[in-house]
Amino acid sequence: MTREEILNELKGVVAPYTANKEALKNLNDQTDLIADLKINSANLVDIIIDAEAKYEIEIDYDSADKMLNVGSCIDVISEKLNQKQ
Amino acid sequence: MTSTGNDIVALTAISVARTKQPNFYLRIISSVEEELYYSDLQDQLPFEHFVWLAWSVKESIFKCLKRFDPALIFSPSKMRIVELKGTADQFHGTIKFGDQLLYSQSVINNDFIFSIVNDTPDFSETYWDIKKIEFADPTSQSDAVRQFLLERLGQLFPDSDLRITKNVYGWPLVVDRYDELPIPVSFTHHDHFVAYSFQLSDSLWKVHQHHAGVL
Repeated sequence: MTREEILNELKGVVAPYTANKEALKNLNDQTDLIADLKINSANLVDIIIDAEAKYEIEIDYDSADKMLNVGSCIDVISEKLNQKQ
Repeated sequence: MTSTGNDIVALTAISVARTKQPNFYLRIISSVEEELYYSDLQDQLPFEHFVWLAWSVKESIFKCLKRFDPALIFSPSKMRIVELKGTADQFHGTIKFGDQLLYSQSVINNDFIFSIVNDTPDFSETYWDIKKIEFADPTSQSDAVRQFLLERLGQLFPDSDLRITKNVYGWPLVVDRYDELPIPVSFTHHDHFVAYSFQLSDSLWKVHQHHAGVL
């Protein structure tokens, strides 16, 4: 999958947890999950679990800790998808 | 400690079913902490409350320590609750993070779990409060928690002209006219609940009152 494809799919993963629909429309690598999307930190684990289920990947704790903005989420998902192949 | 950290979890906004799934809760607590629950705590609180209590304690530690280390990453698996004691609605914890020992106080009811942390078990200079608000959108939460804190600080410093700003790392600062006060503050909000904590030593309060001509 390309980064752009993951970016577009990631919108659906984070959508249930964000109140900032405008920021969701303009999602880019720099978009911060908490500061920009206003996602409560208590939902960050939900996003990791949902991403694992969607892509059938396992995200280890150290990788999960890095998933704070959209770019790092795409990095981790890409890496885990590549490891699957 | 010249820092503070707090966190609130609205229990009405979490999924009990999901919290009980191992692939979810093992990202917040370790298997050792899970054993601690089943050996010492299962008669006192439901498992899902233990998980979110652990979350609120660990998030509080992160907020508290990030003030000294802006590059710190929140990593619940690297923090370990070594002791947690209390009654049905109040818990005191000891947490190990690297070489550091930190201490927590938590309150819990049907609506929320709220925690504060410190580097000593003495919380006599830690001020905090919790409030239920009408609207749960991010702007309302942010405005409400700042106003809530300013009301409390206004009672403690009645002759001041206080406002809340942010530093370059996004941490809240208390400013009196043009001077930053050495009062570390921490905000938290989740769903319809907002809360603050701040650290205020007796000596600082007296100095400020003296300068203001109150003492």
